Amino acid sequence: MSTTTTDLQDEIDALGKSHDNHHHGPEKGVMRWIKTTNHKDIGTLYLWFAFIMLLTGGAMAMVIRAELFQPGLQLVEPQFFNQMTTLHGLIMVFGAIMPAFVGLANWQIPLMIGAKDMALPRMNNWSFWILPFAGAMLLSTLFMKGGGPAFGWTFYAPLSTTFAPDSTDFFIFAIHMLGFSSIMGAINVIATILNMRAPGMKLMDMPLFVWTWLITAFLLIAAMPVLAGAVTMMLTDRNFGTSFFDAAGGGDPVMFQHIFWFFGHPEVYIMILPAFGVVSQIIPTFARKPLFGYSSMVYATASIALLSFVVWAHHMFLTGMPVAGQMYFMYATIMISVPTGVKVFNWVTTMWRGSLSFETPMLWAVAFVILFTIGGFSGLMLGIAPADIQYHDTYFVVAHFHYVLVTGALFSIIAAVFYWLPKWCGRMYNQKLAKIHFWWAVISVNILFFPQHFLGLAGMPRRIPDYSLQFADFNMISSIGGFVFGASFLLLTYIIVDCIRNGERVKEPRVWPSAKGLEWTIPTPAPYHTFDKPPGKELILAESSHTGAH
Amino acid sequence: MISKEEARFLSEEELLKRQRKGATLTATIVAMIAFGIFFFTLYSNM
Amino acid sequence: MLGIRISPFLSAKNTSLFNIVNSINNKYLNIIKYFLIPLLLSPQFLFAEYAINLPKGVTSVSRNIYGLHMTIFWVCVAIAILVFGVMIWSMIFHRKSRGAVASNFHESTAVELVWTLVPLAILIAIAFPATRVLIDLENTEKADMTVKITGYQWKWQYDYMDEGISFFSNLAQSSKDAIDNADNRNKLDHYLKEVDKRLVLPVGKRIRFLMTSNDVIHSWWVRDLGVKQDANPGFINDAWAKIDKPGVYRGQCAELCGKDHGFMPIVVEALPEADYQTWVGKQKAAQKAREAASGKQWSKQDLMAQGQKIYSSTCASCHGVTGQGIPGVFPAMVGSKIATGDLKKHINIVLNGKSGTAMQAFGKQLGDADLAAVITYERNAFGNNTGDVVQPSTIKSAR
Repeated sequence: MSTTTTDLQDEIDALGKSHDNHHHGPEKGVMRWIKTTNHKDIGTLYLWFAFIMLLTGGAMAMVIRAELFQPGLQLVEPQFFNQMTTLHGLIMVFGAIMPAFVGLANWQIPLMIGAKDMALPRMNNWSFWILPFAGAMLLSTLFMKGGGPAFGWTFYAPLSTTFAPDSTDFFIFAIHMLGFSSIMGAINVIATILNMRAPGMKLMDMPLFVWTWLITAFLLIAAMPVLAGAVTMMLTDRNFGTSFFDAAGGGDPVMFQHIFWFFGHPEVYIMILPAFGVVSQIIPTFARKPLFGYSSMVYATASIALLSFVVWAHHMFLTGMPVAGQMYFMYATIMISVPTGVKVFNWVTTMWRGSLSFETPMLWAVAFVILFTIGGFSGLMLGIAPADIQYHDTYFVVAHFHYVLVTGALFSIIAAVFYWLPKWCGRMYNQKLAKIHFWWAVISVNILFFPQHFLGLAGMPRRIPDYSLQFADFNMISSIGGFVFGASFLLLTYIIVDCIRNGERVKEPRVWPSAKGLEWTIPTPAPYHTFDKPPGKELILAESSHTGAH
Repeated sequence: MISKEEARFLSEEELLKRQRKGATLTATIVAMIAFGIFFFTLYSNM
Repeated sequence: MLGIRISPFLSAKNTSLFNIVNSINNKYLNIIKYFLIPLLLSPQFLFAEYAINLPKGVTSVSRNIYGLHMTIFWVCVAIAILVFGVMIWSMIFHRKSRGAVASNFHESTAVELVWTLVPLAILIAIAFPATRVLIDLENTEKADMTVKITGYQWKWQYDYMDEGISFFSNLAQSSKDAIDNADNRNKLDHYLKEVDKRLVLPVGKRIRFLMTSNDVIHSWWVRDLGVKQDANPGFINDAWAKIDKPGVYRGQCAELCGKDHGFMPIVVEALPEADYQTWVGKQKAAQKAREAASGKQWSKQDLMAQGQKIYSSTCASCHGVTGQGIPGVFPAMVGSKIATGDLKKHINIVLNGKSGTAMQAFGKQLGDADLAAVITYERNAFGNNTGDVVQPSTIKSAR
């Protein structure tokens, strides 16, 4: 092995031979990125991939909002409109939000638990490099005869089986690959957190971001194979004459929805639990106060995760479920707001009588708490089974899940990037510009999504390319908000690229003077290899953001 | 997890080896659970 | 016309991105025409006919749902004021720039218990009325009459089980003509919310709806009735309504069901019992007249005229107004092997459909005369000049 390899196994070999040659940098050129097993490189790859996918899915959202700007059909055919809503959803969920969180996990988990690297670095490389191919395959369906998948990101049978375009088989293969990537990523996170922690770091010493990711990884392990099962059954229904979801052959289309949502509901928590973790790191830093109720945060996260597996059919109140089933799923669903409420109350109490300052990451974190909570309220309303009759499949639902996923998950990712980016690249972004960007985005996103509550209550169904005139005004407002919000990402791109290339250099290990955590004890920018010597118990306790040593 | 007391007597290299061994075991168990869930999903619908 | 836009820049077959990209030049013109001009010159925020909340509706169920909705809404508002109030207070008064010094408290079991148990109590309080409403709306027993609703891509079929009346309900032609035409649109009172044949129901009767589907999953939704229920292929769901007030109540399909999901409205016309009975009588008479029509010989001209009507309401949404279809999804009529080939095969596919595709069995949906007309039309329109004339009697014997 050459001295430029970066594999942990080789690290061990190198350690055995000599202690002089293991402080080497990355390989030069493009092969660095293709062959890399370094958690920081892979984290960077994940984050850039997610960002490109975010812009791609965002462009599709612009097409959707442009068509909905006015009643009538102006720009696209209904079939193409359906392809846009479908791929927008799939790309944002599987291409943007999930990979972005895995990228953050790759960068931060080893730094936060004092480990040299992820536990399985070679698999780490593999789980990233599947993604661009799966993403490309998914996008390539748009150019195929008959167009791409046009059945919504929930791909209900039989619209996605008997009545789907030929490209659906490519869609199925892409989902399988994305699932493989996620499962391998989750295995790596679990093995890293359980086995690679610095000696002496107990589970309850871990920062909350690590905790939420540990729980998320278990959700992934339990949910993604179910999705793989669902698309496998679709594949055999389409090509090998089985009738899992076809009533004419003894199957049941509603069974598809049960299987899909058994995956789908934990999936939404996969996208929000790491966001809880991010916010729980940022708020104590800028409140200059330890996180309130650390252990209750851990228990709340775990109970949200457990409950997420027993509430799936609240997406299916109108499928003809027996009344007892609807009651159970209603009660279980509204129960989730208890642990979720605990988390919100804990964040608010962390801020209470702190010494608050509003640097860019804090602005995004505060916006997260407020706007995610609004999404939580509409979620509670949707959980009431009889009321769901009027909300189900309307823009009220669209508004709800965009509040929890855009102003929830996406905002937390942006917050995390602004929080840790200076540590990663040793440069500070233009803070003034970043604040302008924040206000631009946070105002426009509300103009985009808040009127959609009204549209839904006024009776506009989701996934329609054209609407009656009574919905025209709010759609126009929403579209204008959408274009302005979409444009804000051009500024975000500039801020990040400008930071990496020309940003003011930062030398202090503790980029934010009030921040706590092992990641702030290493030099800035984070060297290619960190924690050759694991941190000691004293340091671990001193750097805990929740023990009161603040 | 390796406790502080155990770690005190290990070299960097030995510590890493011990951690990696545990990690491989964890990963294997978790991967088997994932496969199990996949096949159970199919089996329960047959 | 349904869903297939005839516009200068996109023909019906342009569904793949490749084709869309090819037409991008024209698109810029349209962006200017449809976006910039309205945006800059006449921003029409008239708010003439907008709503921001659920209607109370005209059934006990819809009123109960409305009450529940408002209760939860105000509970959420109260909690929001409390939580955000505390947050904003600390954001104003506990700022570092105001010289605030951070406390160090970070734990309190008592506080955690309070904000676990209080929300739990609120939820239980909400769960009681919610359960009551749920049980009531799921109880479909003791119905005075039953209407079976079948979803098709993209129309509804209504069967009055007790009267033997059965018909299809499509998007009204006036709305179809307005999809590409803003002038037509502005003239309409109910763009995309009008049908060619309304579902007529009596007031004051407890009506049971049975929902099912012929192809994919649809969802039958009329807000004022408080009814939304999925129509699943191969299974039957039910719901009920007792309408208090005569009137016209509009809704549309709520579950994505393919290309024209946005174009399958529902219009319910609730009539007083006497008027309803008159309507039933008329329907029965019309049905008899239709049966008589299938016995007579038709001229080619009449067949073509009737055929065009049936084609545009029944076939055009997939095969296109100009018979182009959508490549890779729906086959074209122009020069089609079936429409220009063996007549028996053509009749067979229209009567019995093609399993595993969106082609429905129209034998169950249309009468002999209409089928004869539409097949004649398909074999002689779009340049398919076969010269064939199909009479209703041919269809009758082919069934």
